[in-house]
Amino acid sequence: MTDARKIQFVQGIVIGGIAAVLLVTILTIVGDLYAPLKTFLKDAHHHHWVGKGIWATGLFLIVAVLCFILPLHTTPETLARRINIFSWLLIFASIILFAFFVYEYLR
Amino acid sequence: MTTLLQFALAAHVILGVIGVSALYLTLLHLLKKEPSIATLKWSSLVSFISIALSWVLGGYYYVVYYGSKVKPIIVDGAYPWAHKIVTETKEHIFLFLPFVALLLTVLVWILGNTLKTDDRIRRAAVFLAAAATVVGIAITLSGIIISGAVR
Repeated sequence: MTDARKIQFVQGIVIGGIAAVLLVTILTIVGDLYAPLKTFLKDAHHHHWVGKGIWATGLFLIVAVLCFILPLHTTPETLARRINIFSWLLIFASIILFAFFVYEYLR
Repeated sequence: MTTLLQFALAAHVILGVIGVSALYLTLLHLLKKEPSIATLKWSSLVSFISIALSWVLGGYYYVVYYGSKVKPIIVDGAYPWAHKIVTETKEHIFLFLPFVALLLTVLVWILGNTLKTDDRIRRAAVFLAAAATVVGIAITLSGIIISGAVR
């Protein structure tokens, strides 16, 4: 694999990871506020948490593969920036979920 | 609790601690002036495999046993917030870690030499490993709180 393709491969993992984290966060909050979504996940996958894991993994794989096969030009600088975005997303999504459950408990 | 469930519970804790420790080791080596790519490869791979296995085993225990047998005890006990806030947060942010650990592993294995020469990518990897380690420690502490609430 050339260096450019290696960077593109890693970028696919980054963007796939970003998509997975966003999906889990959205499914969790929306699922708790809109019961039919949580019920749908439970009915389709035996448990809503299992459903979120499966959907997140599926989305990750689709996005990662698409990012690798599409002709997306990526530089080391762009890759570094996207990894940083992923890191910030990890932090903020964790805080948002914690705050959401505190809110749900207190309300 | 069956023997299999006891094993799943214990293994998910042990593997989780190993995974977070390996993430921390990855962070420490990324911070070195001359990081050892060989060490980084193994620490990142151990973190990913441990976290992935912890996910599966913890998930099995959670789906098969926790919801019906443990959750009611906590919710009806003195510390219902231990489930409604701590478990709920933990079970969802844990879903982030396998993707983070996979990225660190792929980054090191595929772009190991670039990590040594490109400061931008190395700094980004340091930030990611640090964020993942903090989240991992928070998840571990959450597990301790949940265990305490059951007692």
